[in-house]
Amino acid sequence: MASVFETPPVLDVQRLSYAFKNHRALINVNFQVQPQSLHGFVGPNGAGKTTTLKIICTLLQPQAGSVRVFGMDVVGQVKEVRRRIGFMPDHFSMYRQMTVYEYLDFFGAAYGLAQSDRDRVIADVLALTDMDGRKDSLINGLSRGMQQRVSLARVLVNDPDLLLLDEPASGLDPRARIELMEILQELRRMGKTIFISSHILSELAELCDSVTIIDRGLIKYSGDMDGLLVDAAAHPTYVLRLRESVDAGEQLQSLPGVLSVSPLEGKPAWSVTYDRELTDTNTVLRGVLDLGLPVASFTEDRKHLNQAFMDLTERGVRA
Amino acid sequence: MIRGTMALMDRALRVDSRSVRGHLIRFLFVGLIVWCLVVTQLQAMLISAAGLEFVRSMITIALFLITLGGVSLFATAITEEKEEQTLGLLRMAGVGPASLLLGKGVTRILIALLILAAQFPFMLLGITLGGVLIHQVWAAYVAICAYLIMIGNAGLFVSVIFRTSRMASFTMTLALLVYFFGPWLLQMVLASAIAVGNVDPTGAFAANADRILQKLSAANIFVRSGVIFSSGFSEPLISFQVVFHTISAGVFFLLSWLSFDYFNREERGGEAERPLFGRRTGKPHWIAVPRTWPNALVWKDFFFAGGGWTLMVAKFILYGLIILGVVIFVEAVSPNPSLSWDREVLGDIAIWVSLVLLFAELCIYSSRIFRDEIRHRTLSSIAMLPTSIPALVYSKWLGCLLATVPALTYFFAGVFLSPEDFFFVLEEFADEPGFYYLLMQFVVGFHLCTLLSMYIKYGSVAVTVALLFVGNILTVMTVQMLTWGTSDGEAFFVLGCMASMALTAILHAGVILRVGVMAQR
Repeated sequence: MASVFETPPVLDVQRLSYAFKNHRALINVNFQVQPQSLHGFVGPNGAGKTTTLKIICTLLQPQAGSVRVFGMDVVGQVKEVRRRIGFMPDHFSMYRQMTVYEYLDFFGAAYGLAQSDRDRVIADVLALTDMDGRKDSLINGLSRGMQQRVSLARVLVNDPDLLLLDEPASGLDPRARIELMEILQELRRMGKTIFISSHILSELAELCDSVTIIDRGLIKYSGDMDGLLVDAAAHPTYVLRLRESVDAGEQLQSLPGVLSVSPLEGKPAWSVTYDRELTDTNTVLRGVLDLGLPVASFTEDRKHLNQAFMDLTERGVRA
Repeated sequence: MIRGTMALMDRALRVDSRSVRGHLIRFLFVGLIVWCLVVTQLQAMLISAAGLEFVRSMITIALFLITLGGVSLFATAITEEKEEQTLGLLRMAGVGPASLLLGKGVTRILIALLILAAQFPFMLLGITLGGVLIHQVWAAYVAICAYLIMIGNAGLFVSVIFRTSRMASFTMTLALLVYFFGPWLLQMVLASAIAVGNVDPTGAFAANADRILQKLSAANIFVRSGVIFSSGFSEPLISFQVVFHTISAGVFFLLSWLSFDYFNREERGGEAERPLFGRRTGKPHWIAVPRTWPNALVWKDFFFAGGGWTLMVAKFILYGLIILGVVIFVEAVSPNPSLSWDREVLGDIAIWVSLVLLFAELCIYSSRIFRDEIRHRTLSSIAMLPTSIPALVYSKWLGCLLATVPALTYFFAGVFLSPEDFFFVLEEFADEPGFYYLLMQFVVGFHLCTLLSMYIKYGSVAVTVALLFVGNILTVMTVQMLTWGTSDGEAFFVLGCMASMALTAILHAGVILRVGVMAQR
């Protein structure tokens, strides 16, 4: 039973189903998103991510189940829901013949903001997205990364509490991706709840508090990031870096619960995989220290987030 | 070259054979012919030369559809590849200009010729109904095929020159207007010049000018079809019109081929165009786009679809010049030419010209208002605003209607200058159900065009005009058949008005529903 002090979820999806003609896009989907969190929504292409997002942002109506945003039903309270959310689609949907300022001013006015409020809000969102120097530029002339920032600025114009971002980093270069992720972290610090869809789990690993994995319309996992690793990796792998090159393969292999040890090519480092049922991380680390090895670091191998994703999702070409 | 041409032709035919829309159009076309045949057969006992009426109606419809095809289907053959940014890919795959022109343009002409060929056996049935000879049917088909080939290649040429389908269609429309009305207007000017004594009627200039204009008029397909269906027609099948159109088609194809590389050297996508006005910074206040209005959607469509204040000023000047030009022309070609300003003439011309311009503007807006949002994938962004879909639709339309103020101003100025004529005509028509029926056709047309623009990428105006034209010909034929000798058909016009109102309501709801559906994509 939920505690009376427990914060209600910002987003509550229950038994959601949706089908396009004979293709079932979503099957009994359940998940929740907590306030002021950054929640990743991950799945391969064609998994049902965009359909879910469109239902949450009221563009599609659920065929079965319910979706509540801040406790409001997305079917019965469309206008109220729209005022509390900001949706950034996966494509560049912009009026490219407008300037950045005109574009933001247009959406500000469309949300009913007074002119003086619009001036303040636009200045704020331009500063946040670092676009204040380009406010008079035509959107058509901006780079893809800058257009994505303008798109994000547009989402923020009505000061939404929940941001729904559909693959915001797709098509961006590494620098633009990193900068976008920094902006998202800043927004979370400002108290926004961010729901971000992506098909690249590792991209969200550092960023998200929680994650939902969807594949072929079915939820494969929903919870916090650590839980994903615990659930998915019965045999976790850690990278042991040494300060100097030591032939420690046999010593490491002899530690209780260690399943395999392999050297990392060209580095004084070893990849250590253990059985979670037989031992734990602390015990393994203690064993390594007892061996007297010159340990520089002992870190979880992040590649295994991708492995977890691969384990949870099915192979094959999707419709 | 053969490989590329065959690949493109194969693709075009495959797409056409898989398209339900294509089969539906052919089915409707055959259905239309059969229905006209039935109506004509029923009338055969009541009118003379029923077969001639049938063949003439069918040929007129075919000519009309070919002309519309010229401004839509043929004029977008290459521009659609440019807009999709696939032209460069085709060129990189080794497909040369000749292959592209043959594969993209000529294939469309061939498909149209095949439809005409399918129509031909039905035309022969017209002979059994009486009033028309096999020679006339053959002559009509030779003429119409030559016209189709000329229109197809002219369309291909403009689609090579222009970057967007919109510009290609617009230019093709202007070119067709010049082709159809140019010789006629010049003949009137020549006659007027002779009448006032500026040109010697017995001189070489008048004789040569008249001969050229007569020849150009003879090349007009509608003039030619009038000659073919006149009684006692016995001219050869290969007329001046056929030769003229065939040579023109060859010249247009050659020009398309020679100029292809020049006009398509650089691939530029369908970038968003900013209308005439400038940005806010550093521009005079009246040129600049002002801050967003409280109704943001009205503001957006007025400034970015309708062109805003600057285009409005430009339209005031341009429309004024057009009206002035027509007034000068009418005065010049009148029996008693004068350049004195007649208030009534000025008012009448202002009314009619402004109505034509208003019609043209509304055609443009109804075909673009949602198509542009779909093309730029912005519909979902505005559908997410805390407003209803109907409110969104009406706001967008209001923005576009604001841009028609210049045409409306000239209309009301015309009414002010010539109130007697305007109210006289209004009173004359007020009792005619046919007048209201005609008005309703415009209302239905704008709704239909708006709806169609959300289904088809190009040519929604042309398809709308074709549907309305064919639909009305069918309606009139059917009404004639049903009311022959019993009524003047007024009751059917009243019913037609009611049916049009019902259709408008359905299309209106269809537009709103379709906007909602497209926003989900």
